[in-house]
Amino acid sequence: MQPDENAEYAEIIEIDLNEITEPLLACPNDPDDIKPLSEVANTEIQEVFIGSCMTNIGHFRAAGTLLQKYNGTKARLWVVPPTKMDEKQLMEEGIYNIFGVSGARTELPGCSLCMGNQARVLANSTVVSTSTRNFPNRLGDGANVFLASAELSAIASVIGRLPTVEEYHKYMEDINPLSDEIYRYLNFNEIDTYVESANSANIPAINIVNPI
Amino acid sequence: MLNEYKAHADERKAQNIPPLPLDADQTSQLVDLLKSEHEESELLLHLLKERVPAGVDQSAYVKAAFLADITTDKTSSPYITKTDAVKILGTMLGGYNIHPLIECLKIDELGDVAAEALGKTLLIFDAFNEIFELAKTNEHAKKVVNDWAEGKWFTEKSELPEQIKLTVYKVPGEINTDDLSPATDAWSRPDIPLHALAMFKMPREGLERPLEIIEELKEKGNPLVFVGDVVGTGSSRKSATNSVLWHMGDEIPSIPNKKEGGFCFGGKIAPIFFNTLEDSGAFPIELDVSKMEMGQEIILEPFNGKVLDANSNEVISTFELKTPVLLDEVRANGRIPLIIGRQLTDKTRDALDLEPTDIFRRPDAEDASDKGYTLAQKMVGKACGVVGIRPGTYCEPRMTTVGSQDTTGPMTRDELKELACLGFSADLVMQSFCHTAAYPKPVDIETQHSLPDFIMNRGGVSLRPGDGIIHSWLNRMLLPDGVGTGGDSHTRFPIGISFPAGSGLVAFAATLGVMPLDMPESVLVRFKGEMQPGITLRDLVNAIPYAAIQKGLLTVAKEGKKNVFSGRCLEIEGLPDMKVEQAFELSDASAERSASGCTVRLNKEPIIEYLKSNIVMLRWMIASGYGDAKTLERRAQAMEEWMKIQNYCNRMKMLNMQKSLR
Repeated sequence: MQPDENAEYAEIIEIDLNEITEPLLACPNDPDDIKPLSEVANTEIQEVFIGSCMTNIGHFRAAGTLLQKYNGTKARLWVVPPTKMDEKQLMEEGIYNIFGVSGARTELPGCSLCMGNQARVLANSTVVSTSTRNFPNRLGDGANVFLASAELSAIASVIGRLPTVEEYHKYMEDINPLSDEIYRYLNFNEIDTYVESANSANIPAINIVNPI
Repeated sequence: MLNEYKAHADERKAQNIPPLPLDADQTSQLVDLLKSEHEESELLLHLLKERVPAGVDQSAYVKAAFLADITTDKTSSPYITKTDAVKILGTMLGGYNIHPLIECLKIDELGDVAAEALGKTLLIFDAFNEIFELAKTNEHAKKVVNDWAEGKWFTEKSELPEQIKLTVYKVPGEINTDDLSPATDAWSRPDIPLHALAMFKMPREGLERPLEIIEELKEKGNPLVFVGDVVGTGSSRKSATNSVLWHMGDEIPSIPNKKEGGFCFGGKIAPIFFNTLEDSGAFPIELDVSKMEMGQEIILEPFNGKVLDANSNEVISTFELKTPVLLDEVRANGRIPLIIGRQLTDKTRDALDLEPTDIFRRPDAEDASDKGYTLAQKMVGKACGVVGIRPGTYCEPRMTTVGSQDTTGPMTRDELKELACLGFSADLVMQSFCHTAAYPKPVDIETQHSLPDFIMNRGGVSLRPGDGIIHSWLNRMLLPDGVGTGGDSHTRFPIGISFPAGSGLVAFAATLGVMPLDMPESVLVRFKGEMQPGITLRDLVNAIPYAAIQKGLLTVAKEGKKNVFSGRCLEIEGLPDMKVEQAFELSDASAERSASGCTVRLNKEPIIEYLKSNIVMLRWMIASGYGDAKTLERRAQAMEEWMKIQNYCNRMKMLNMQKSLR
């Protein structure tokens, strides 16, 4: 379905991609408080969370690719893939091994720190997170949370602070040439084990009624 | 049983909260005690009448069966006459009490009382036809049908007064749902009184002794009004509304541990929070609150749109209601009872060949604009069987997909029981366990054990603990252009559109297969140009508020906060070849914008790629023992059907092109 050309909007906001040349972060502790990286570079970071529904398998490959060249992380890194299928695939590709060697804390697929109802970051720590929102006290008591991309988060975990824009682009040189390979999504119809299992399913008889 | 109950009640009393409602075991023991003489008969009767949940709860089943047995002489109680039994059945809302009441219509001595009860019962559903049929031969059933047609359930409640005196409970700044219902206390959400004790438990500047002040202010003798600058942003927690209403709302007769009514004023009220207030019969108003102070006595004039200081009689704020229907909603004790009741009355009048009634304030008719429709307006239109829906129009779109997660799941379950739901009308309802699987408390384990069957028995799909995040699964079950909802504020379909909601509305949508919606306006975000090296989609997510701040359409400060996205549909275009997984990163963050819903304009190719993958996933789920298998297969076939239509359209296009070439 496509919108009509003469549709009416309360407001139209145009964003020119050519003008976005550095990462944008939501700053502590408001998802609306957006600043470019250059304004917050070098902020010390104690904990980093890569996970939540804002992530997909590509983000974890990207994080793994960035981490594998370095010997562990300076900030505590939490890694939580969104589903068990992502987790399995990342294990089979050896990405989980990189997380393990880096000293990352991997968690059961799920919401994890994003809701902050179970495990939490240290009180009053400064955090970079890929999660959805950074309201006060959400990830941990008194935590100051930046929301940013998985790529920027992984870099911050390695160096224990937010990078400068120059440093960021330097790190990203490892990612850009591989992007087709890194940002590849889970297509179950192209994975034999899922196809075989699906073909073996005992399909129940149903009456179909168009649900939309 | 009684001693144990008293000990439990004392324990709770020490926390200043009422005991838990009776479970099925306690209810059956209670019923046994009531069958013979007992020295504490008054307490027993009180427990039966007031402390058993209504609807299709297991305890309600025991209670209804006992009362039904009294009406048919299968058992008796020295304390409950047959007439009493019918009256008590009449307080049980719907579900297990309906059939016993219908049977009583056929008994001479009980018919009158049963008719009185059914005439005011709204959760009738399929029993409508049975009663309507019976009305042809039975005078009592005829009275029931007449009461429905006249909307007696509504007219018996009084219209709002011209002036309402209130005491202000004001919390400055932004009050998100986590302040009202902290995530760390998510486990206690279904226990509304206990959970309400956690409201404002995190220290907050400008608010000392938050709960004590509530009690002190109540001593002035007026209802309290909850006032804030920005109210209810964040997660879609019905529990946040529950907590506010527990402290400031009204008791509901015969329904334990739940309240309704109440007042809430905000400079801005987040849309989901606004809706959950409406659903519960509270009166939410967006207005300037700068002249209201903690403890101040004010007079609300709902029909004049004015708020006065009670001492000086000076007007301190004016407002326009979001919709005049709000006045009916408050009168009917909530938007949900209003919609269900209005449907019952309309349906009855239609069946009787009567004109529609004029007792309700109906939403305004559609304007005659000849402009086109946005993507969101078209999707909602399709779900309503029309081309498009104009902003401001009230509608009830069909629900293709409904999601429920585990920290709201037990509340949704309670709401489903109260709605007497024994099977879902929404095409696919899915339950996840992503919020509690990692480090569960005993209460979470209980949910993880009992909720899957509850959902699957009603035709829903249940994931398992450890499977992962609700959205990452639910997105893979979506149909293009379909409309849905979910009890998690990040239910933001990357294909189609969803309007996330609190657990009450989610239960409504799952049960009735439609949801009430005042169609929001849309804000278009259009990306142009080329993505620069090293820039990620997350940066584009953040670019949306960044651009809005620069255009003066969004402010970060809380007092007098400006937010162009609040309560509107965010519609994103300019990146049509994104994968659906990527599109979700953009739509997901519409939650942080406080948008009502979000669409992403995509080409067919990424959607087809996604569906091909998801069909395999759904059948892999069937093979792996997930249920309900029929629902999973129905969805897989619906996807195949959609792709067939696309192929057919493509072929037709090719044929036409060839023709025009010739």
